[in-house]
Amino acid sequence: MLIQSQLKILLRYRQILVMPITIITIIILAKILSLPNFEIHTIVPVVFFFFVVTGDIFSCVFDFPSKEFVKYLVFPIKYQRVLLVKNITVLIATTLYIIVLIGMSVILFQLPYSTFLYAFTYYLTLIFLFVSFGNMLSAFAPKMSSSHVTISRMIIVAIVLSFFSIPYIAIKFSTKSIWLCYPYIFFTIVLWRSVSIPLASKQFSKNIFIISDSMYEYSSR
Amino acid sequence: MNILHVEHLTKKYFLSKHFAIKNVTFSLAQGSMCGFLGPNGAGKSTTINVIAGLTKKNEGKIYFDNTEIKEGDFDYKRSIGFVLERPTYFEKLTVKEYLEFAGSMYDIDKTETAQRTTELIEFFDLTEKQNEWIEKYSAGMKKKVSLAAALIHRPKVLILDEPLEGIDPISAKRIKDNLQLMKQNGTSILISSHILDTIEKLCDDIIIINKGTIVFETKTKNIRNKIKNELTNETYQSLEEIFIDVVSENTDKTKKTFSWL
Ligand SMILES: Nc1ncnc2c1ncn2[C@@H]1O[C@H](COP(=O)(O)OP(=O)(O)O)[C@@H](O)[C@H]1O
Ligand SMILES: [Mg+2]
Repeated sequence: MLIQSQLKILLRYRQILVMPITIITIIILAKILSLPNFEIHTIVPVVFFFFVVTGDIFSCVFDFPSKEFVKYLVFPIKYQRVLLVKNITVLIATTLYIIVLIGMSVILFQLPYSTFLYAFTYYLTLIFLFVSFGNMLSAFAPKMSSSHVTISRMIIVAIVLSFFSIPYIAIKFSTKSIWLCYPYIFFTIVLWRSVSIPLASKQFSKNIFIISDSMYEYSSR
Repeated sequence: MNILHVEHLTKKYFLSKHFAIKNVTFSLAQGSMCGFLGPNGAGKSTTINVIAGLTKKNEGKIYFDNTEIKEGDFDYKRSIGFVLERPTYFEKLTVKEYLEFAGSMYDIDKTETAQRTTELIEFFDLTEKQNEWIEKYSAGMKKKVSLAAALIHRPKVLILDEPLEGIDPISAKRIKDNLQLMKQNGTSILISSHILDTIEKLCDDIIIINKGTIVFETKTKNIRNKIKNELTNETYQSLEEIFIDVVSENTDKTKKTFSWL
């Protein structure tokens, strides 16, 4: 029951599912397109990805049990047993992620940069970067409800996806213009920051989104 | 007879300059209800967390049912229901799942747990949200979840850290009535709260702690006989009066107004 509930809780952390699903999608795509080769640019997404994934591992794999496991102690349960469950959970989750990360890097380093998949991966990493920003945002702006954070993330994803098509076209026409991606990254981040900060203010978002008022009840918790 | 007795409990948090509690000694009599009062930061939660084994004590002894509780002991928790100040439920579970989990932790069999879960959810008015994650509950509803989990195993003793905080008047009334009922059925209750008139109405004993040390202890029935002014033989009229009196004695200066107002 202990491990069962622990795993159930762990799996309900959204991030922990998003990662594997995305990575599996990428792997499948890579298989379908069967792509070779390595380029300097591919390091960028790998590094991005690594940081983002690491951030998520930290937030839900390490942070989660240390925050949560103490909750078991109100029950008649041996401290060592809780500790064991915690360590097993961390171990399983970390191992899975390391395997996935290695697999991911292997696949990425074999990709030519001038492909759809490359741009796709590139922007996917950006999306996750923004998701992490979203997490940061919810940490730094406690007034923002979780539904708010979700909404702002969705907007960011939409923005990012619309930017997606431009470098793809650039890549399609010239391998050199891959460098165009960097201004886009910069621009997108600036845009994200300028959107997210006012978003954090209740009044602004209340005016923009006429979504259920109930989220404001939770935001003041 | 005392069901719970703590002696010289002392705790100084890591890197903290002051003692959070110092030499705290008190008892909870079997079948009685004891109000544990004190201003914010007085050390109530620290004391309760030490008893719950969530915080390590530096010194002192805890006796439960006349047996000393050593570090790492957990069997005594079978007889206690805790509501702690920091949330102890799992946010990603629904109230139903959490109560079922709690039931299994206390080794209650499945059908019995299911039955009690249904009743508890109904009692605490959580039926509507029973399939939502606790994460989505309001503060008061979360308190109710903690309370429900503390009751599921029919504990001999309840240790409640501000259980009525953020709870609506109707539920609060129901909870208070039930605490009283449980007391009549022999449950011993230690309750910390800031709602003084409730404490005065419900509790047999009152303990006031301030800055980590117990500054006042009395039977509730004696409150109104306690002499406030020896010259005029004036007595205290309420627990509130005593509380303010004993707590501000130990505070440097109680500012009654602001300079700019
Ligand atoms: N985790 C902690 N680390 C350091 N100091 C703490 C911690 N928890 C509580 N304290 C300090 O211990 C004292 C007592 O706190 P607490 O027991 O929470 O008071 P109460 O519950 O009566 O409001 C306070 O001075 C508080 O600042
Ligand atoms: Mg407290």
